Amino acid sequence: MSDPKRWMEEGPPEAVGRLLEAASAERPPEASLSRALTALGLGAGATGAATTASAATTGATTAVGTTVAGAAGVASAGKATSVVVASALVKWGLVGGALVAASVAGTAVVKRAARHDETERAQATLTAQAPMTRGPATSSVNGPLNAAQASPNTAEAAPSTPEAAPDTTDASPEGAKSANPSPLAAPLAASAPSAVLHPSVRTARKALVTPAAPANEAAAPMDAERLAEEVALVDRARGALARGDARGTLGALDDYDARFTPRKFVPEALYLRMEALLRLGQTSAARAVAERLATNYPSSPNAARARQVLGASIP
Amino acid sequence: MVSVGTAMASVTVLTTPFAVDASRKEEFVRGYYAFVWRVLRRAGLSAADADDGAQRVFLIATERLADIASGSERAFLFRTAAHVASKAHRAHRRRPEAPGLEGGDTVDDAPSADELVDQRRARALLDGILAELPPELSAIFVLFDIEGLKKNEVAEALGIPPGTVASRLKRAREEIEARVVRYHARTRRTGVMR
Repeated sequence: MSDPKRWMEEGPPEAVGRLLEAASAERPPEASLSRALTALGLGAGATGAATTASAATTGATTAVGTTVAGAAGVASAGKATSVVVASALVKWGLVGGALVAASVAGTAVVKRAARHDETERAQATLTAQAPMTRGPATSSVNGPLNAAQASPNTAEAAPSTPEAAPDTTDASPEGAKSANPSPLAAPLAASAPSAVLHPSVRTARKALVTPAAPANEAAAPMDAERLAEEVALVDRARGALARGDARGTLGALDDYDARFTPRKFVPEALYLRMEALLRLGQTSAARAVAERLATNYPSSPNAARARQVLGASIP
Repeated sequence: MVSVGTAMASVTVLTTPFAVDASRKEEFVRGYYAFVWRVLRRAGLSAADADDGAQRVFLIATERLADIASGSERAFLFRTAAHVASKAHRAHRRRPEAPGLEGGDTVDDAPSADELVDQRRARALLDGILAELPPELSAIFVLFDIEGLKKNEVAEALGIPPGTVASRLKRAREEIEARVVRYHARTRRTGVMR
């Protein structure tokens, strides 16, 4: 059977046609795309990321600043959609969520700008694939936090682009954001999709989806949640550092150390701590951390920076 | 396999089967960014949240680029976007934000100011209607009638048999048309544009 024709081609009712046209005409602002490229460490923005990164503050302000400001006739339209947002989002999560959830099971999603430097990229790739940790055993989940690790250069090309982290209490809308792996992910890998429906729709919908994606990472439910929380905390620390808030960085890291044992992101946390201490002028403390980092995690991308700090050239 | 020896320990590291280079990733992002962004918008995200969501989607997708079969890109991206959108919803639940510049941050092909406002209003209405529909219907409409995916792509994206696409699409269109008609009847009666 051939494809159905698109409604637009078949001549829909005029009112419908207007909606279709409006939907098809919508484009993301150019700035939106370039921010995304920057955040991913791609495109022209990647190497000069320091300056562009600082410009990319909260999504709202950036969007306002760089795009067509035509809020005038929009207020009423805005109200119409704001109320109905909720259910659509949840529902679509069910349509696509189960399919992708298994495939992203345990994938810690963090926005970082990976540098173009080939060495570091190679290092990062190696680290990402390494099941190694000299520390405590962790879940089988790999942390792309390693893979996407920004270069040791603190320009920290990655802005902590604002995302809504579930339980953070920080005041700044910029901080502490992370893209969490879905708590849906792991349970779906193991059980029927219907088991993880959002409570408000559990009664309404039968499972629409087939768990098609193979669950490469068989993370237990708790691990995925836990990982998400770890990511959130480390991200909060990273965001604080990017903002120049060294004390905040240390606070978040202390939090992280206190709450999580074992910890997945030890080298990353050490790196952030080292940088924060440097910022505060606590050089000897920073060197001590650098020592730990370089010694215990020699092939981590962070280690190169640690060795810089130590002024040594250990291979 | 690569062995990295240090003074402390010998650590064995696995290399990736093949590394996807940056230019390919960039090409991928540029090629599909608008699609993902629009999908997120039709899932009810504000422009700002769509920005964030799109970044997340591509962060996931570029990590897994090697695994995405050629021809299945939009199916994968849609599923990822739906996943990301549902999480954005959960975050919103915890931290409600003022409905603000819902439409002020998008760009239209239409140049005139009047058309700009009209198109935003139209999208607001559309999004409201889509939100009322069962997810399988709104999704199929967005993918097929707005984004123009082929039947098989749609089927893959939604995890349904290709043979069911036509009938489901028909249902979606019927529901949408009914609501559009109802909306216009309402506004005519009350004389108020909403």
